[in-house]
Amino acid sequence: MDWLGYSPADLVPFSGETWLALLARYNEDHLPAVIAGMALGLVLLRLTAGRSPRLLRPVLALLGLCWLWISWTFLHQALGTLLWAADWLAWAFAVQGALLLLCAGLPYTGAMTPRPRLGSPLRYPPPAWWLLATAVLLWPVLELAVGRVWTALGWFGTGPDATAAGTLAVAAMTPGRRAWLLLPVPVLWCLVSSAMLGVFEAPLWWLPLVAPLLVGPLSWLERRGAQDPVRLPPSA
Amino acid sequence: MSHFDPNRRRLLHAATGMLAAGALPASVAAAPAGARTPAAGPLTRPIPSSGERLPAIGMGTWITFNVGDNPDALAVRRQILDAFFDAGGGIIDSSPMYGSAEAVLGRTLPADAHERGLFAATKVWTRDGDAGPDEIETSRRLWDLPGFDLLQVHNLLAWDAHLETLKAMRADGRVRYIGITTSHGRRHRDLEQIMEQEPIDFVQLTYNVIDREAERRLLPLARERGIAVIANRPYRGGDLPDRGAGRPLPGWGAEIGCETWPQALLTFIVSHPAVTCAIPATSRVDHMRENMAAARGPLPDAALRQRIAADFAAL
Repeated sequence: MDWLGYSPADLVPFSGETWLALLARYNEDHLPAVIAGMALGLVLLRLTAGRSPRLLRPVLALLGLCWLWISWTFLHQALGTLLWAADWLAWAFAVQGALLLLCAGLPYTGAMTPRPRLGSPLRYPPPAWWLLATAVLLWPVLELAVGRVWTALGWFGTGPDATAAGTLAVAAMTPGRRAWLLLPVPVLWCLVSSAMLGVFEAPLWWLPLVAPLLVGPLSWLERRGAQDPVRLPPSA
Repeated sequence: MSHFDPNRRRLLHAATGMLAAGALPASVAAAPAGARTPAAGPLTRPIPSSGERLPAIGMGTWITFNVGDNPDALAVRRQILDAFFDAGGGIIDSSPMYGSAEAVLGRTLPADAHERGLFAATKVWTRDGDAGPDEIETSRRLWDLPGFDLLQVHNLLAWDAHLETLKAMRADGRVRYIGITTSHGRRHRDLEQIMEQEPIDFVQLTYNVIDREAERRLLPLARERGIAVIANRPYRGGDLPDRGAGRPLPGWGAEIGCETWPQALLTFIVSHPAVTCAIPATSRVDHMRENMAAARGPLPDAALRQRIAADFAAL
């Protein structure tokens, strides 16, 4: 097939209504997982708020489990009935899950840092934390606001869009070069999802693009902000 | 499903064609200017390689039948198929590329689909030239049919290997017709070469009131070579009816028995003498009924076809 001659509309073999019905059925069939995914999102927000490199490891591990879940349950089992390329996407998500688990197993330098002084920007959650909060808390609210039925909302932990966006946020918070490994698959999915939603003429077709656009600046801000010259003495 | 008896179906369709021909009204000579011989009932066209007549308005399944196992959607598809056959529909076209569409057909086709005129057409769509037979068998099981009337190589993918497979199947009587498809105006040069060199019964290509490139060479070649033509993307994925939505038809609409732009668009397509049928896809019962009401009146001649195209372009 001459792939370059095809537009996104030619490659999406189902309608927007079918996509929403798929999401609704998936959420209904796996409601306990949806609830667990949301709870996990809240846990991740708590773990990442304190800027502790030590706590990044459970964050990455929990995210890895989410990606593996989505790979099998959503992409392979659910979307696989509609889209011939779903298994390729499922493999990509599985690789991402494995990468997250691998990164979770690697030690991070920098033990618990002293608590920053009042007024220091390090006292507040990192900039990328707000992107994670958007993925966990705001994503379904935005979808609801533009008229999507509540049964077909994309939830963090089980929905690919919010999970990919949240993962990019965590990657921005991850120190070192290993963060680069965690970028390609979520960015790819965000592009695919945005293109697909564009085919459906969904009002929030642009939302999945926000995280890929922000991950670079947020990562830079995070690394720059980590160099706080003034710290409290340990006894304070 | 009923026993697949090609001879019985051929006789049924020949009889239908004779009845249609015999029912031509005496007012042919008084047909409105710009309109040709009026049709009585569903318009049918002969398949050149056999003379079997095929209803000119068929049904596609791209997107519209890819609904998985959603029970509400399946129920609507059953209604769509009932409306299709009730209105004299024949060819239903699908492909393994269309997700769950073939499986949905298998779950929603009525048990008496063949008696009601089903002409089952699907495609082989695999890069592996040796995997064609297995894929075709998978399609047959999904459709829940004893066999297909037409098998086509989808978008020329590995066409040389698959065409050999299909030719062998036709020789063995495992399929009645074989063909090859393309869409969106792609690879017309390759298609032209295949039409000139290969003994195919059908070609499927994109042809509608906007996408008329096939008129230059492929449609005349099809007539010359005795190849039936299936027009896909008659509505360009829904864009064309959207453009005409709410707009009344000009005066020629009444001349050709059309009330809406979608009907006029389909009538335009099947009025080309080289076109055997068009395969609009829909997910709505009312749209199916509207589609099947097309091409029931006098067909536009060449001059009126140009007017239709010009009026649509001006919308």
